[in-house]
Order: sequence, then C-alpha cells, then structure tokens
Amino acid sequence: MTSQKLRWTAAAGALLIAVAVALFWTRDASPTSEDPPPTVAGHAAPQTPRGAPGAAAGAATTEEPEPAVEQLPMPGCWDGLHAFDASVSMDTFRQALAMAIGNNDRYLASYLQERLTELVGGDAARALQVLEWAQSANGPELSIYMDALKDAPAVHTAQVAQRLLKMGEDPGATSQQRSAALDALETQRKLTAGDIQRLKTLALDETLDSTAWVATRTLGRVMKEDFSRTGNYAPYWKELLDIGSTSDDMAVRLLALEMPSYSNPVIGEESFDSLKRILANDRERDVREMAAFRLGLTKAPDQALDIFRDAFEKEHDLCVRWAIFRFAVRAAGEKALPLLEQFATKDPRFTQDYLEFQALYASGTVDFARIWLGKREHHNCLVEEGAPH
Amino acid sequence: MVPVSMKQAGRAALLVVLTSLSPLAARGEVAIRPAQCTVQGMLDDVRQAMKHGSPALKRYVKMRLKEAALAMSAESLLAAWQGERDPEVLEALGAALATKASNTGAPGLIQPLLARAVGDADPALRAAAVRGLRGVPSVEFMEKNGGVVTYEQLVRDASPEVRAAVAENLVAESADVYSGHDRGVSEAAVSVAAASEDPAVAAKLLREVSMEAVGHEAVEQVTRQLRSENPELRAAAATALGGVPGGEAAGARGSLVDLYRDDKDPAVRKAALQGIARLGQSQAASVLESLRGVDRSMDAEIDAWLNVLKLNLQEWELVLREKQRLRR
Repeated sequence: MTSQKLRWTAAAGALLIAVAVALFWTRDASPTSEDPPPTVAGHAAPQTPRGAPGAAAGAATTEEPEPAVEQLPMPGCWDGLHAFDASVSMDTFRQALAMAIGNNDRYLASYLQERLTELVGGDAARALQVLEWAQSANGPELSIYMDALKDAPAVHTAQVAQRLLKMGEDPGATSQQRSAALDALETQRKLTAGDIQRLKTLALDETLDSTAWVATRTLGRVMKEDFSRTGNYAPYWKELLDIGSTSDDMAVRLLALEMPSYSNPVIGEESFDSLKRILANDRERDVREMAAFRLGLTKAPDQALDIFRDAFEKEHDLCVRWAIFRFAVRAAGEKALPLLEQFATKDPRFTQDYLEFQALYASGTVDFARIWLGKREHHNCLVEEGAPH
Repeated sequence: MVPVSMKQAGRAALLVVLTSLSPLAARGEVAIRPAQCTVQGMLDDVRQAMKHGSPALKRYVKMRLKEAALAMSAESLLAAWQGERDPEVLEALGAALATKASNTGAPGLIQPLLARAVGDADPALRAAAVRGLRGVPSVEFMEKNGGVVTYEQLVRDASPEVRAAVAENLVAESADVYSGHDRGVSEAAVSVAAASEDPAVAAKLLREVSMEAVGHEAVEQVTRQLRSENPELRAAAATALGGVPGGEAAGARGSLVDLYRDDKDPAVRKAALQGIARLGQSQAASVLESLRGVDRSMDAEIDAWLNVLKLNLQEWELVLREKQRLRR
C-alpha cells in the first residue's frame, strides 16, 4: 500500500482481538485434565495404531525400509478426529473445544472454529444457540464462538445480526463480550441507517474504551464490504468522519479516519471542510496525519492541494508536514510537483524529497504505488509494524 | 508459584464448566483424545481427511503437517516422500518439505520434489510435486539446486495438469511471496511463457504475473508475443506490456498503439487500450483520443477510459477499479 503506517495500523487492528487468545495460548502449557498432552514419540511406535500408510502405495514403496517413526514436539495429534468430524453436533462440539483449550492446542481450536462455522451454516437457530453459549463465555472460548459465527451465513439473518448488536449494547455484558459481538458484525454486507447510528453511539461512548474502538472498526469494515459490492460508502463515511472529528478518544478518532484506507473510496468535496478542520486543529499529530491521508484520494485534487498548502504553512510538526507532502503527491501526482517545490523552499528538510519525487516522475513512472516504492525515507516518521508511535 | 497454581486452577475450572455443558461429557464419553504424533499418522490423517473430511478438517490436517514438519527430521519426511503415491498426500507432504526448506534456508530439501516433478511416470504425481512448491521462493530454490530442473522445462510437460501447476506456482510466487516486486520471478515467468507450447498457460503467466520489475530483454520477449497466432496470448501480452517499468513505457506504448491499429480481435484491442491507459494513466488521454475511429465498435471502450482518467486517480489499481465500475 502507499503507506507503511497503513500497514502497521492494519496489522494492529487485525491483531487486537487475537492478542487475548495468543496470550492465553502462550501461557501455561500444562494440561489440567488427566489426559496426557499431545506427545512426541521418538523412534517408538505410536500408542494408538493408525491405518497402514501404504494403502495407496505402489511398488515403489514395497522394497524400501520402514521409515523410522518420528517423535514431534508440536502440534498435537488426536485419536477419534475423523469420527468426530463426521458426526459433530452442537453437543459434541463443545466437548472437543474444551479438549483443545485444555490441551493448549491452537491448531485444533482453529479447526474447531472453522468446523463450527460449517455446522452453523445458514441455520439461524444454531447461530442463536452459539450466541447463548457466548453469553457465559470468555477468553478463547468466546473468541472462537464469535469468530465462527462471523463467518457463518446465518450471521446475515436479521435475527442474528440484531442479537449481536443488542449484545454489543448490553451494559450487563462484559467488555470482552460486547466487543466480540460487535466484531462479529463486521461481515455484514450493509447496515441500515438506524444500525449505523447505534454503532456510532457506541463509538462515541467514552466510557466503553475498547468496545467503542471495535464499534468504529465494524462501521468501517461494513463500509468496505458494502462499497465493494455496491459502491455505497457515503452513509458510513459521513458518520466515521463525524466520529473522527468529535470523539474524545484519540484512538477512536484515528481509527475512524483510517477505516476508508481499506476500501479506498474516492471522496468528494463534501468531506473537505471537516478534514481541513481536523488537519488544522486536532491536538494529536497521528490524527492530523490521517486527515492528510484521507485528502490524498479525492475527486477534487486541486482543492485538496489548496488545503495542503494552507495546512503545511501552519503546521510545525515535521511528521505531519511530511504526511502533507507525500499525500499531496498521492492526490495529484506529477501535478503536485510545483507545490512540493514551494514546500521545500519553505522547509529545506524536504528538498531531497522534492528532488526524488521529481526524478521518479521523470523516469516515466506514473503509478503512485510504484513511485512510493522507489521513494527513500528521510524523516523517521513512518512506523513499522508493532512499533510504538 | 501461587500465580501458576491459580492459573491452573482457573483453567481447570474452565474445563469443568465447558465439559459439564455437554451431555456426552456428563456421561464421561470423550469424542477425541490426545495421541502421539508420528509422520505416518499425520499423513494418514491427511489421506483420510482428503477423502472423507469436512473442508475445515482438510485445511487443519494439511496445516498441521506443514507446521509439524518444521520440528520433524528431514530424513523422516524424505522417507515418507519417496513412498507416497496419493497425489493429494504427496502435495501436502511436498508443501511441508518446501516450507521446511524455506524456513530453515535449506533449498536442497526440495531436490526430491524436483526429481519427482520431472521424473515420475504418473502425471498426477508430477503435478502434485510441482504444486508442493507453491508459496515458497521456488525460482530461487531451483537456481540454488543448480538449475537442473527449471520451470521452462516443466512447462513443456505432456500433461496439462503439470503445465497448469507451473503457471499457478509462478503467479502465486510473484504475488504472494514477493508482492509483485521480484524481478527474478517476473522474468522467469516471461521466459516460461516463451518456452511454453500451451498458449493458455503462457497467457495466464503474462496476464497475471507482475511486470513492474522486469528488464529490457524481458520486455522484448513479451513484445514478441504480440505476434502470436493465439488471440488470448496476444491480449495477455498487451496486458503485460501495460505493466512494464516507467523506463520501458515509451516503447511499450508504441507497440500497443500499433497492435490496436493492426489487430482485428476485439479482446486484443481491448487489452491494448488498457495497457495504454496504464502506461500513461492521466497522461494517456491524448493517445487514446487519437485511436478513436480506428474501430467504431471500440469507441465506447475508449470513452470509458477517458472518463475514468479524468478523475486524476494516481494509483493504477484504483483507476482499473473505477473503470470496471463503469464498464467491464
């Protein structure tokens, strides 16, 4: 993509929900049941015989020595797996999940999550059953239920989607449950105007912390889905822009402005006043940078350049200036070069950038994605994945 | 020690809660039980799952084999490889070996895959061996194994399944391993397309592999494909020329303009217009305008490009997306 920072934020967003699960898996690996953990067998025969390996083997294998049986440290192996897979029911599923969690087997848990998605399928009653389980679950169990539900076709039934939204709004539910419910809504193909408002209310509730952040992300992710299917993004973006302008939580403001990065709608002038205000006034540098990013993809590049010109003049932070500088190029391409020259004259720290952009365009390259790949970094402003900012 | 005990007690409690919710658990029945892992056991799991398992199970057992291979001795994997005759299991085992080769920096581990890909009498097994190399830096690995077996060689296999696997590997390697930025893989794809006697395979390679990093010689190879007798291949070559580096843009643009004027095939002309639009983006308008009237049936396509280019979008993926919204 055109911004290393975008890569970081994307990864951070995707990782957020997974972090709790990952922490769980990496803690104490000792099982609590009396069953032994999946073990490693050296050159000994396995405890449980399996089918002969050579069922399909041809002549090539008949004269070769029997391969030594290898003992493995990880991942786990399970007897009864195929019978379970063939006969799994809503009842037997939870028992297997308990085994996966108890034995700290993330691969089995991942399989079970996918199998639960298959088991639920388009059946709303089964989906509601999973939601019932989720109401008394936490940790990886909760994540597996909700992630399975998210991918099941039944999540698109109004009954299930509304139940998820209500769970996200339920002050009696735990923060983790509310966040997980809102996260499970992200695969919706579209949201009604009323549901957008309900998510916005959660996003702006400063008492909710991570739940507000997840509500914002879900708004953006459904926007991406709806946009890719129908080209519709305006109702979502209007509210995200409002959240980005008014939330008291810097992380929520930043995310609200970031979410269009994943669908890249080409925004029009109707967004300019708000973005200009944020770019000029937001107290957080990251948010001002994100506003510049948004202005970099527009149907009205000339007006965007005017905004960038004013903002660069008033801005004192090097990194925000650098964001303005490079997103001016994203907005207008080679036509931005005269403005870049002005910027470099005002702030010589950007002289080298101007010369490099000029040379890249002179080489015949026109695609900004390639221009950016060839651009050297001089300002130490772009954050690599996982790094603090 | 106290926190550990508390953690264990907490998880024991969770387990009790979870298992107590199931009627089966209440009766003390256990559907799955921990077992010892062996190479053969894992391969048998793959074998059985591929025949009778759910899609989730198929993914799980293949993933588990790949992960476990990192901890297995290479000898045990290679021994299993030699004797395996089931194409689906062979592919999974090949992927495990190739992943191990990639993760451990031991390209020699793929030598048995290459030998099987080129030498097995069964075309399904040759194709499986090729597919086992998908998703790793296979072009580089082949070079490091002395270039004894190459994709140029494999693409001339008598089996269409093997040839298709070659194209799929290169497309996946360019996009997934290198995000389209690797010159070596892109130039290998161009060479393989030139070596291929299967125009559909050659067309897939040129249409889908990124050309952003290729050198002049590769551009010339692609340009020669514009004279193919096969219209699908000519269209693919036109698409590829649209993606060459900026320094090659002027020559490529000239070739595409000539192609548009001379080639009567509508799909080829459409691909030529796309290539011209990509090479110049917003600066392509005048060239596109100059082609109006050459073929009246294509003027609507030219208009669609001109309308999109007026948006002044600076990234090709976005230009293409907006064009496809207007007209496919």
